[in-house]
This record gives sequence, structure tokens and C-alpha cells, in this order.
Amino acid sequence: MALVSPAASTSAPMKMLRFFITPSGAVWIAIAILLAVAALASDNFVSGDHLLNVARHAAALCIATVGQVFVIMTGGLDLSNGAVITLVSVVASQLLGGSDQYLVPVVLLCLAMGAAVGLFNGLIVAKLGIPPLIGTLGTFGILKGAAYVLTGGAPKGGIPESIRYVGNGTIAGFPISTLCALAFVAFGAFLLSRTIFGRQLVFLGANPSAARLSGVPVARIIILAYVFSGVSAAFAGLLAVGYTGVGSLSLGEGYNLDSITAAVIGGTALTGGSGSVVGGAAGVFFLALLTSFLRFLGLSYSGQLIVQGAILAAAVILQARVFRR
Amino acid sequence: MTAALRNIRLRDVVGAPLFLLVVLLLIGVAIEPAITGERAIRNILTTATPLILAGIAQSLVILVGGIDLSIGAIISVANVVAAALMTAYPDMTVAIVFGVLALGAGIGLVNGVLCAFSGASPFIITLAMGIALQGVALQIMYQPGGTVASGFRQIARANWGALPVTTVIVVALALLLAVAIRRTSWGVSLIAIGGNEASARLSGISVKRQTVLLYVISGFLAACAGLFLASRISSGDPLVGEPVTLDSITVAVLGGSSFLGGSISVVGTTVAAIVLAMINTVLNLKDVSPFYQWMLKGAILILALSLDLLRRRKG
Repeated sequence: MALVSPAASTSAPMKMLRFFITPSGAVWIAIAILLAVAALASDNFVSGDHLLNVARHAAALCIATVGQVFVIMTGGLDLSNGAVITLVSVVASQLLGGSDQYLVPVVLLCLAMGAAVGLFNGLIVAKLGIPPLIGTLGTFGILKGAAYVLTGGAPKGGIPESIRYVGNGTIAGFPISTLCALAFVAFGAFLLSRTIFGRQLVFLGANPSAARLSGVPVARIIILAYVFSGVSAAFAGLLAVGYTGVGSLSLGEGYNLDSITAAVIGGTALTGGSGSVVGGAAGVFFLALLTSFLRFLGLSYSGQLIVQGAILAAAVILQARVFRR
Repeated sequence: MTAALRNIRLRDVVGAPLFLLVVLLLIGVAIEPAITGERAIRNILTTATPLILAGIAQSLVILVGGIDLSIGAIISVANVVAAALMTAYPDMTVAIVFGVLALGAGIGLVNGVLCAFSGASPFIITLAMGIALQGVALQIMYQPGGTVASGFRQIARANWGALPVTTVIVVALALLLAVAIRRTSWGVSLIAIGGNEASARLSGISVKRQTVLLYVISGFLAACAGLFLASRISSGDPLVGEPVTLDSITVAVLGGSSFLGGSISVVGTTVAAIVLAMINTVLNLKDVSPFYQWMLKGAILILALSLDLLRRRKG
């Protein structure tokens, strides 16, 4: 490797150009192409109102994806985040019963639940050495069962106006949930690229044995990554249930695979050590935009699935082809 | 002999995948003796059959370090294609069965080629394939429907005493596969790929061709499961395979597959599928809410892996 990389000596526009031909930059090109196609197909699709609406729908997934990116960066996976979202939604709904009386304790309890689930995932992965796919799949099963048992199959209660306002309301035209998601993405990106925890996480994802030998507390960092993912999922669950207004046993369904898909489209490698929080957020926006556009075209649900699967496959194959080292 | 016995540590026994399964089986019988009845056994084995097929398919792919997240969707597609065609052409059952099997193998071929040659991770490739195929299944049949020929219905209903004929055939084929993996050079080469891909390649094994072959077998077995389910429910259901994807991974891991690759137990996977079906039956007979089944499955999965790691720990 050269000591001075060629990129360092080129001009600012060239640097910008180079950004778009990285795994986490290419997703912006995909979004631009999708928007261009949509603009050609219709005058109404690419409007501020509609795009904000798409961003509002994407907010909860975006927050869960930030946590997922952290876990994938360690070389892991979190299949339990959707079940955390479901559990948080029914617990908040049942405990609050539509009133603000216990708002703060219940919100804190929900976030603590997410942290506890993450701690459990982290311990079985980092301390016991159980493969993340299987370990978090087990947690997924336990939580899904717990959500059903807690509600007896029919969620009761309701979500108070305050949380619904965060999930549904706007400030100066901007959906509050989207602003929350953007803030969380900024926080995640800062954590990953500007803190010791984040840098150690990237390091151990890229080369676990080198990290261990250089004194990085590998197990602790991995556990923290899962805890962060659990808390992200709990936060996402509060936003999602604020949007729907009622706890639901199917609210979190699909969030686990969708967050992994978004992270990968955003340039995060499943092998760990390379990825981007902002790219993951862009991946979420791309997926939401795509779903919205396919629906706009009048495609049936089954047709949407076919196109989504094809585009996902094409995206990862292109990524693997173009960026193979 | 005695020296060999003395060298067996307690945790080797406790950690062996089959140990937990046998214990679960005994607990099941103790809790609900009714499951040893002829009808209950028949019911358990019939329920287990598609899961045995899917579990073996999954364990073969896991063996070489891959994963197949499209198994459930292949089952659903096979199921609705069979039901839709049999409804339209009631006289062509045999041709349709072969066509569906070829379709499953063909989907597996696409999976295999993409996983072996594109450089993208099998996790995402097969996930994408699963999403698209779920769309195809729903496109063909948006809700459960269709019907199958009465002769075809018998596939899932013919019994030898307490034993369903199809289950016996599937288990016999599984045993054959187990022997093939342990005793043929083909099987050994698969284990070599799973153990260390690079050294397998250097010793002249064509890794990519074998990987493609395993995905083809996986697709084929999934199609078999889809056809069996079509026979069992006598119709098509576009979501029939959905829970099977994760269950197949559970069963493969309970049976002794490792995500590090290089280990497989066809027999263990078969037993795990039967035990899982037994647990469901016991819970149903005991009138336990099906919600608990999710929790129990998750807990058993984590317990099984913890025991397995205990065994592998050195010293």
C-alpha cells in the first residue's frame, strides 16, 4: 500500500466523485436513479410532500438499522430486533393504557428492555461463542412467544397522545419521527467514527485476532454493540407504535431482515469491519422509496415482492463484482 | 475398551446433539404418555416429514459454509404450482410432480450459481431469492385454494401400521445420504470443503461445482416438501412454507450442524425434526397455548448450542 493514497492529492470534486464509487456511496446513485425514473413516470411522485411521507414511513426502520449496522460491523447479526419492536409496542400499550400518567417510567422500561435483550444476545455471542445467527434467532423466538403470552394473543390498552405526537406529528412540516431518525443516524455515525468504542468496534470487526492482541476488549465491545442494537430497536418500537397508535403482535415483523438488507445495500459487509451508518440509513430510504414507487405504479403486493427480490439480488451482486478486492 | 470408555468425559455425552434430543423425547413421553399411541405417532411423523426434508436440505448447504434462506419460499412455490396445475389438469398428476421437482432443482441451480460465482454472500442472495419467490407464490395463488387428485392425496395418508409410508421412505433415504457422506469420496470432499475451502480447492476438489450441486439438492428437497404438503392439505397455500425456513435452520443446528462449516449429521437432523414435531404435539395435547412453542423453541436452541460448546471446550 502506498503511504500517500492517490485520493489525498486530488481536488475536492474528484474526492466527491470517489465517494460515490465506494460501497456506501453507491446507494446514493441508486436513489438518484430511482428518483429520476420516478420523475419521468409521474409529475407527482418526486414532490417534497411525498418524499417526506416516505421518510416518515422509513423512520423506525432507519433507527433499527443503525443498531443493526453496529452489530454487523462486529461480524454478527441481530435477528431479534423485530421481536423487540413488537414486545415494546405491546408492553407500552398495555402499561400506559392510553394515558400519560406513567409515560417516563414506561419509556425508560422499554429502553431498558431493549438493552437487556441486547445484553443477553451479546453475552451468548461473545462469552458463550454461539453463532449470532442462531443465538439471536433463539432470542427472537423467546421474545415473540413472550409478546404473545403477555397479551394472551390480543394486545390491550393504548398509546397516549404524547407518543403518538412523536410518531405522527410534524414540526414546521417535517415529521418528528424523521427528525428523530436523522438525529439518531448522526449520533450513530459519530459513535462509530469519532469515539474509541466505535474505532475499536471497526477494528475488531476487520481483524478480531489482531484486535485482541492489541488489547482491545473484544468481548465487551461486541456485547455493547448488541446492547446498542437492542436499545435502537426499543426506540424504533416506540416510534413505530406511536405512528400506528396501538400495540400489535405483528408490528415488528420483517424488521430483522429488512434492517440487514438496508445495511447491506448501504455498503456494510456481512463479514464485518467495513460499513457505514449513513449508508445504512440511505439503504433504508432506498427501500422505502422503492416500495412506495412500486405501489405507485399499481403493482400488486406479490409483484412488489418479485421486483424487490430481484433488485436486492442485483444490488448485492453488483456490489460484490465492482468492489471486490 | 475400558480405557476408551474412561476417556469419555461426562460433558462429551451431555453435549452430544443426540443426547438433548433423546432427553426431550423422554420428557415428552413422561409428560404425555398418549404420544406413544399409534395415531399420535402417525401424526407426529407426518408433521415432521416436510421438516426432515427441509432440515436435511439446510444442513447440506450449511455443511459447506452456506445458508439457504429461500427454502420456505421454494416449498410454497412448489406447493401452489402443484395445486394450481393439478386443479387445471387433473389427469396429469405424474407429469406435474416431475415438473415441480425439476422446478425446485432449477431454483436451487440459480441459487447455487449465484452463491458460488457472484461473490455476494449466500445469506443475502438466498434472502433475495426467498423474497422474490414468495412474490411468485402469491402471484400464482393469492389465497389458499385448488385441489389435488385423490391418488396424490394418498401420498401423505398411506400408512404401515403406525408409520406413514412417506416418512419411512424419507428416513430411509436420509440414512442412505448419511452413509454416502461418511463413506464415499464425494461425502468426504464435502466435509473437506466445509472444513477448509482453500485447502479443499488445492487438493483438487472443484468447490464451486459441489456448492452448486448442494444448492440444487436443497431446492429439490424443498420441492419434495412442498409436494408432500400439497398432498397433506389437499390444496395449495402460498404461505405454507414460510415458517419452515427458520425451523429448518433450528433443526439442522439441533442435529449437529455448525455454522463454522464442516460438520453435518443427517441422522441428528432427522431426529431433531421429529422431536420438534413431538414437542408441538405434546403442547397441543396438554392444551398449552401455541404461543409458548415459540419461547420453547428459542430456549431449546440456545440450550443446545451452549451444551455443544461445553463439549467442544478444550481441557
